Amino acid sequence: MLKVILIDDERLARNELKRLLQEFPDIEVIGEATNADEGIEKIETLNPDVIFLDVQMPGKNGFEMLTELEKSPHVIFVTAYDEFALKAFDVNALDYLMKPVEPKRLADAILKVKQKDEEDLLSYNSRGVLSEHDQVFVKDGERCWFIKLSEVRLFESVGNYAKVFFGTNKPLILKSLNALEEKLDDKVFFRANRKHIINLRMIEKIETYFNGGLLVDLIGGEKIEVSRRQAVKFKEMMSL
Amino acid sequence: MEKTTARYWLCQIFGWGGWALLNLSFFYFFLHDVYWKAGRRRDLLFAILIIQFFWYIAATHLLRFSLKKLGWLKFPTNKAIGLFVISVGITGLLAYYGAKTTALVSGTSLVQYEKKQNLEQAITTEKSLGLSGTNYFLADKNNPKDSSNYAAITNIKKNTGWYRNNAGKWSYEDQSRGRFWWDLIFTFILIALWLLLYMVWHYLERNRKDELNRVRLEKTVKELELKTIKSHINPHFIFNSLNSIRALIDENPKRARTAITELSNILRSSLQVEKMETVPLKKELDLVKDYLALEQMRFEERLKVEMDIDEDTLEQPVPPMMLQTLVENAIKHGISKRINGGVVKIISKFTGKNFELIVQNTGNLEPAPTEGFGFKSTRDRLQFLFDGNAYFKVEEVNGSQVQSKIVMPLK
Repeated sequence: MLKVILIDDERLARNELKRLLQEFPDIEVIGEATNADEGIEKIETLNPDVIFLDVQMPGKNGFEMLTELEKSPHVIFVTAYDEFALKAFDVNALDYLMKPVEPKRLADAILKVKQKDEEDLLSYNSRGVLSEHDQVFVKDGERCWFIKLSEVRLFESVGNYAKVFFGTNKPLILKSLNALEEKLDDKVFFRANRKHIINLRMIEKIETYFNGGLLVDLIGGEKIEVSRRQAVKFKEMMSL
Repeated sequence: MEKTTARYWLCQIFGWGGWALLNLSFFYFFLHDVYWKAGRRRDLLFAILIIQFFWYIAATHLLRFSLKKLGWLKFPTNKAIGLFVISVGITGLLAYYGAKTTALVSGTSLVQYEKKQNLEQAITTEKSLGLSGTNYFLADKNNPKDSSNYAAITNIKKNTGWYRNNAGKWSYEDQSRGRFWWDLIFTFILIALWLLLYMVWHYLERNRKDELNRVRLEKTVKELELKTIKSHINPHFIFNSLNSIRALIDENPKRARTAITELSNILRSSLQVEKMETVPLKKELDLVKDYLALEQMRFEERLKVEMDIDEDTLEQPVPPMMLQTLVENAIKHGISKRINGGVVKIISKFTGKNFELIVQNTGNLEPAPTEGFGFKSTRDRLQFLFDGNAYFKVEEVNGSQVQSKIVMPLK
């Protein structure tokens, strides 16, 4: 059963989508929202698997809402016709539908969601802690991504921002390393030193280093120092 | 082409003719005794002026022909300056020597005449000094200390340019070499002035033509733009409306039906907009009412509409879809951006000699880095139809309202 929330400022548009979704027995519409703030509230309390999100809304638009979420459910964008939005969707390979929604296209979009890793959809609902199966929405300039945390190998602090290393990308998010450390599952993400959080699953090689510290090689080629203090914790964690 | 040639010839004839007349009057007023009274001299004066007239025209005409062949107008400044100097030199020489040779050959040379006069004067002077028949000219050979003969030779030579050489023959030495140079330089100056005038005139003419072409091109581009602007239907609005209508089919079939009629009216107007320059306000208002009805379907209680229309203004001609564009902007930038929506008010009235159309909406004016498509199109269309006598202004009023006002002169 897929849990769905509809976010659109037009009542008739929401009704229309609801009517279409009635054709899918394994879809349950658990809530609706008429603007970004309401949307954030509903998402955080009801924890949907999928949201249908209108981009053009009064106040904050759809993208802005997503960047404010801790973790993001699967998003299917909906738009009437907006050249800029369409370009953003295409460039960033995002799932989207155009109004009035064609039933066939809706079916394809839902199928795509179902084909996602089963584990991802059964993400932990405990508030506050992000597991590696969760995804976060990251926007850096024109580009945006839904990043599955398990794909992130390194967080590096840059002033007030954190650089997110995944694949060949390194976008910036407005979050401090301390805030991230609190939210992330500490069994997977480890604070190596003041400036770095590493994904333990992405380690290729470990060597001893000066002063009782360690030097860690990550899959992407980055070499991260583990401070002496953290090295003690690290060895404890890794020991049998 | 014929017009320019005629103009050119008129300039040539009157220009050089005027110059000849100027010369004539100069000689008449200032050198009257020298040239006027002495009959032969006067004839020669006329002759030389006429010869010069023809030669100047011929030389400059040839110059013009050569310049045109070279395509001088396209030359860069440096090359043009070089061309100027060379042209003046060649044409000047041509005019000067051409006239001189013609005069000599036709026996109308003033210089020759004066030379002859001088010879006669020399002979007369010789006689009066009692030196004819003597060999006084061998003065320095025979009696170097006798200065009176020597003085006589020098005197005659200085006054007439003629003197007897050692063989006793009369020889001539022009006493006014300077005159030759002055004449030549003067010719150069005249030709230079002519060429300067010619070039300046053509540069100005070319600038004028370029300006004209540019304006024509702009007008054509604007007309094309206008056509595209007018047929620019807002797709966002279309698809949103269709989506809403589809939703209404079950919920309120009657409303859905009227909505389809309203939408088709708007589409039809958008397509027909190219055909008419203006429509009566009544027709435009009907369209705007349809448009607002559809938007109210989407925004529901978030959109409130107020109308304050002076009935006498209903006949006024307005550009089609212009009011609709303003209302669309009011909703796009004002109502749709506010979570609780707002009010759109349309006012139409006469004020003095003007007809005013006003659209007010709840909201704030956001300074945009570049003017939006809708505003630019409104400005362009007003400019096109009223030629700068209409104006369009958007401003914030009463703190929380935005007002778009169009003021058109009454015909």
